Amino acid sequence: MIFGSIIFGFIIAAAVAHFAKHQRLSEFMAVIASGWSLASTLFLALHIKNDGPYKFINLFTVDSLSMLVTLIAACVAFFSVVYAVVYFRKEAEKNIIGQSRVRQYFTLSNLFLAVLFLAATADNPVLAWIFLEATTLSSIFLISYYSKRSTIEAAWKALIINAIGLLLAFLGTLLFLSVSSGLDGIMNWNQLLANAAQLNPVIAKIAFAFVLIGYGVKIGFAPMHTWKPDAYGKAPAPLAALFSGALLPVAFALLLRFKLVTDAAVGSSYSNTLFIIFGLFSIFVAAFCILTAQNYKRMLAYSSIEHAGIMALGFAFGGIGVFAALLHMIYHSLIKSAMFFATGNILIKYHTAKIAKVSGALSIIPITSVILLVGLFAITGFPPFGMFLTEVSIASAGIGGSPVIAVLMLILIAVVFIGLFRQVSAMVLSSAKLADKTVRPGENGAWLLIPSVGLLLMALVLTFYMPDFLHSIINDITTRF
Amino acid sequence: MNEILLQLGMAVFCLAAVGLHVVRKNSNEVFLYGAQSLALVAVLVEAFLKTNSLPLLLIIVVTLAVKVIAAPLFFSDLLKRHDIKFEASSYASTPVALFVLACLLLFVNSSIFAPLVGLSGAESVYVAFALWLVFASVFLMVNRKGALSQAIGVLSLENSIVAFGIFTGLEQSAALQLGIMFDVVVWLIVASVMVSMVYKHTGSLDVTKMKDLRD
Repeated sequence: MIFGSIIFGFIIAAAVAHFAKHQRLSEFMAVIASGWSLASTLFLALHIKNDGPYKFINLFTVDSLSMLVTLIAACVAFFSVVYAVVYFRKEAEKNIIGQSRVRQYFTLSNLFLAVLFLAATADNPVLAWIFLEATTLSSIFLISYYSKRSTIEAAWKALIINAIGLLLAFLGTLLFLSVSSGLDGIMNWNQLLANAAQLNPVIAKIAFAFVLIGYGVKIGFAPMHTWKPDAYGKAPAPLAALFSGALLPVAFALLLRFKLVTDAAVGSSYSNTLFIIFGLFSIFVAAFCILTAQNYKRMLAYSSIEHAGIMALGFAFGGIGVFAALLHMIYHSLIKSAMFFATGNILIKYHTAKIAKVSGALSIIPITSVILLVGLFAITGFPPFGMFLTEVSIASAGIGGSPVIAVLMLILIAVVFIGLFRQVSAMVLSSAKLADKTVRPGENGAWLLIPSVGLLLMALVLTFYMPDFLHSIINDITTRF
Repeated sequence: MNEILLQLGMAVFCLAAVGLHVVRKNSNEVFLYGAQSLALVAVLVEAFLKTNSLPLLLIIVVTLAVKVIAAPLFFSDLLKRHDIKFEASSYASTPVALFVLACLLLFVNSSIFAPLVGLSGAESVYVAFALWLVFASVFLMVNRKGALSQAIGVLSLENSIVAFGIFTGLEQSAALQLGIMFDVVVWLIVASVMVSMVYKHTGSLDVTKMKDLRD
């Protein structure tokens, strides 16, 4: 019942935002729904160790993997909604958007969250595909939210690329289900895994290639990543945080489920090789795009692509790499969302997303600047943040079997750091240019800072203290790879 | 009778796929998509005649309503509203496009895809054609410059995958197929609105004119 109430909460919040005329009521309901989802997923996470996987109407199962990604998604969703409430009020004050636009955001974002949770927990691969496709459909009009020529372009690109990718993933899914011929009813993940040995190895390989390309579009593996910088760059900051912090882990989890099936059918070397190829190429593309980025939101999108690549390498290297990749997923979602919120604050203050047009941020919005700087060091793997440990662990997992790949990964991570530091310091640490001297110093309000600070603190706390329930969930997933 | 229906359906399906690469008028593209969807219905009807499955009948009715009637009407209305006639241009010329289609046909009949084509022993020729249709649809989206053509390419790809699923016996339960159909309907509505928005903001459906995103 508890899982049903999460979905019901999001749908009610979406309906209220659509039908109610009061913006405050829409905001209130969105906060309640996301707060309830966070509390409920925490409750489920605390009980999953003793009670085992949680089932809902036989079509949805919350096991360790779906628990982890729904927990991440719920956490990011809650902070994103809190941030969105104040962010859109600020935009409305500046006449960038009207009240109906705010209600449109909360309608579509709540629908997006509902289908995202359903995709993460769907017990059946086709059902998971249906809901993941629905995340695209519910978010397209949020990418084109500001109705400008460039936002329409970004939305169109996202629509077409995601449609092609997900249809190829569907083809791959159908091929995986070829093992089900002769079985009655809808085949769930466990049945698929149990019957994986019966899959024709060549079909399993082709199917996994299709699924990797398809879900790789959602995750943002290069070269299927091209919609991401555009969409993240044009979407409102709270949505970009949801894409990077919530959608990416859910899509990754679905891909990992297919990896398990493929490994059972043909051994792990095939899927690991593909993960290494796509992972390393993603880090490579992201590193050089970050160096030349001109838009700070696009820059963070490339950073997400880089981290998707690092996670892929962790899963490919195996052993401690898997544990580290799962931790990396948590840290990335928390830190990247905080950074997207910080870029939202910069956008409100400077009215531009161009790096070259932002200067002297430290003197104009000092707390936001510090958040961005802390986020920069955290996301690039500086101690004491957890990403230092996860990146070192992933590299050490790979150094035995694939030393060249591991070393290349570390070199590219260094390039990413140089690129990000160069771009962020140009905005934050430089002295204000003449044009920026007209920008009134001062933060946009405490509530635009609290979500970022909260997420960064959470990432820091999780570096030094891992709650038992979370440790047990990650351990359980690790043993399956 | 069933075999004739199946052969006729597949012939129309494949001809429509080739036609989508050849025609230059948007209205012709919409017509060909409707024809392709009708061919898919014929394939589904053939499967129904074999199985007498009532859920499959429901799927046929929904497919007919959504893909054969609603989708072409949606797009035709869009074309009339904006008076868009000759925008289905492509990157590759027609002979090159036809050559690529021929290469794709050779590719799906190569040893790489032999296990896939062999998934259904008796209907392996149809499986090979369905696989070719999948790649032809992807090529359509890559090759065409028009936003409407790209949208039709996505829908054509979906048709091809459904046909592939039928021939390989991998079609899903009725509930899941309805879920997929629901996604298609929503996708269609979203794509139509987006095509309108693209036209409104750029004055054209030519995606090569979309250059505002470049850094």
